Amino acid sequence: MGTSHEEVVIGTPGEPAVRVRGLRKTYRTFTLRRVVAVDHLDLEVPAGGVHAFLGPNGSGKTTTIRMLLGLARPDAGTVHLFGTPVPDRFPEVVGRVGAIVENPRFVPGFSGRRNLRLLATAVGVPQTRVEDVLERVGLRERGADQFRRYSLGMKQRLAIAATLLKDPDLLVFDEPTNGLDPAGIRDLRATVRALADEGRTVLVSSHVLAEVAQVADTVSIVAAGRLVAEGTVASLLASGRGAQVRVGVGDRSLAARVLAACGWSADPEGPDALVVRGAPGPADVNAALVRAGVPVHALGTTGGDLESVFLELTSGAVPASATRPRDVA
Amino acid sequence: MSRLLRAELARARARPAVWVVAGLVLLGVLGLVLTAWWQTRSPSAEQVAAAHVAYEEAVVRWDETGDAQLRDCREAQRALPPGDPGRFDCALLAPVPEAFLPLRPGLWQLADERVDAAGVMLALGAFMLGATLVGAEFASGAIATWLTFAPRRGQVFATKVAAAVLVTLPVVAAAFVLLAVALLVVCQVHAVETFSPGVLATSWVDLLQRAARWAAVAVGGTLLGAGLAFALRHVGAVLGVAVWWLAAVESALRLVLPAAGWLPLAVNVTAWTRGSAEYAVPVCRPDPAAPGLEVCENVWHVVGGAQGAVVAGSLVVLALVLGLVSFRWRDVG
Repeated sequence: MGTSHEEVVIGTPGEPAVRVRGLRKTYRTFTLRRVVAVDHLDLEVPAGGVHAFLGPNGSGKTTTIRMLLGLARPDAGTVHLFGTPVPDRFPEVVGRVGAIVENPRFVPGFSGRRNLRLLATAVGVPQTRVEDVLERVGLRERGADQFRRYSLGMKQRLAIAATLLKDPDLLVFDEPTNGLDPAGIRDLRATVRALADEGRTVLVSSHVLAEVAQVADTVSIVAAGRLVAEGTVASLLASGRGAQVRVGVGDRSLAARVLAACGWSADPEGPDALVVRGAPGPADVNAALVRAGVPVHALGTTGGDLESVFLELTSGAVPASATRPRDVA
Repeated sequence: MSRLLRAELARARARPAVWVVAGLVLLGVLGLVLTAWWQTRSPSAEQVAAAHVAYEEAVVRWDETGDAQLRDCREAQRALPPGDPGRFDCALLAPVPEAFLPLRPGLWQLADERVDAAGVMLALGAFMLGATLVGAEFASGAIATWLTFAPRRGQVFATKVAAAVLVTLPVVAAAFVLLAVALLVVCQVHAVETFSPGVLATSWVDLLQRAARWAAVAVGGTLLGAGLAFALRHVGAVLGVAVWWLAAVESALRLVLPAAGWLPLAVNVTAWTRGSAEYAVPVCRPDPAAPGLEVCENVWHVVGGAQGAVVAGSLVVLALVLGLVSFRWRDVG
């Protein structure tokens, strides 16, 4: 996180790769109950770099991605890819978009190479490109094997190869690390980073922040179908969300009452400490306790990383609001 | 469009289910040929011996009653107007040894008896081809990947349907060519008549036309299967609907509502391939001889070839429209 990259951004300067406004999608269950999957979601993915699209399972990530790709129709709201409205004009930008939605899905009985050749034929890409992309993802030697015989990691790599056939500007990977072993996850992170370093925009969704946070330049966090935070990784950390103060005190019950009176929550930790949430910073906690006559013998911060931000935001510990103002369509 | 079609054809060629269905259809045709082989084989020694005995008995009877039979026959023939189809040479009544051997049909009769059976197999196979080519894509989820490459759903629909038809046509051609060639070989091997002058040229033309109409039915079957697969998105669901149709419309409806006898596909396909088909509607009225009771009689209704084509074609079009609307507007994934 926070690493700098030399990037060549493809697309109109200043125009986001993805812009979503007021997106809403509901489903009916078998019992005809209406379920809201995406609830007036606003989302902006800047062109170039890796954008992590994070949220717990069932938060609406995949549904959103399916709407980005024209596979599902929104009930309300707008989606623009490189300024082009989708799904109505998705065919105009389809050549600039490569995507994996949920699990890689190909014809099981065909070899990896044959699957790619089919796709290449469909979009008019030269067949030689198939070998190039197989080489790039390290599958050239196994290209003749049937897709159904591939390991999950190989399936993911084949899917990435498929997305690269069109040499796209925007890559959308939906939960690409699902089922991968640690080595596979590391390889995938490297691939994602390398693609972004070529100037492409890579939108990666995941419910496990740790798997993508290391390579993400910007982040959007959704919960229950709504955006709860977005921005650069640095801005999210700087917002102070997730920062907790650990304070060592002699009388924990008195200290807890004092902190509660300030509007902060305090949970016991160890024999003589409290973890304070909601406080602006350690100095404020210290001042409040000293004013109340509670001796403080230790003071520090804990948990001020992106993981904590993610957990707090998606568990509802922090009221849902973005870290920067959002236009509401 | 042509790129998509080429890709769809490549996908179809490489799909094992297509080859399995095509193989089953051709095996079924070979089964029909086997029955022809059995039907035209030379009589066994036992059959020849039994025929000889029967012939000897007939000759004895003919010697006793032949003159009277000939006299009665000639009187009856004289009563018929010239050119009446019932006229024949009364001398044919005399027993001949061949008449007591098992009948060995010729090529035309063999083909005539088998073209409908082959057509039914082709129609069912074509229905399966259409259903599996489309339904498997939905079942595997590959359609979602496909749409991220080819997002124009109308085009995708058209190319998949066209590919299914183009896959069906060679199977139909292979089946009919196999049937014709194999029957000819059977006739040659068993020395039964092939192109005898007794069979009118128009009969052969009628037979070829019937085969062509069955080819059209097979194409319709493909379209029906593909349309339903687009609408239902699963081969199992398509088969479920097919079984329901067979049970409800082709069978039960005829019993429950005889007046709807024009609806079943069996009636309409028969009408289309044979020129006409009939269904009976019982009409009942009070029995004057037994107050309180009814007397019923079947009134036969004729479905013409054109009507059969319109009804069966309408069902195909309905399935395609349902499939297209569902595919264009329902979410995929």
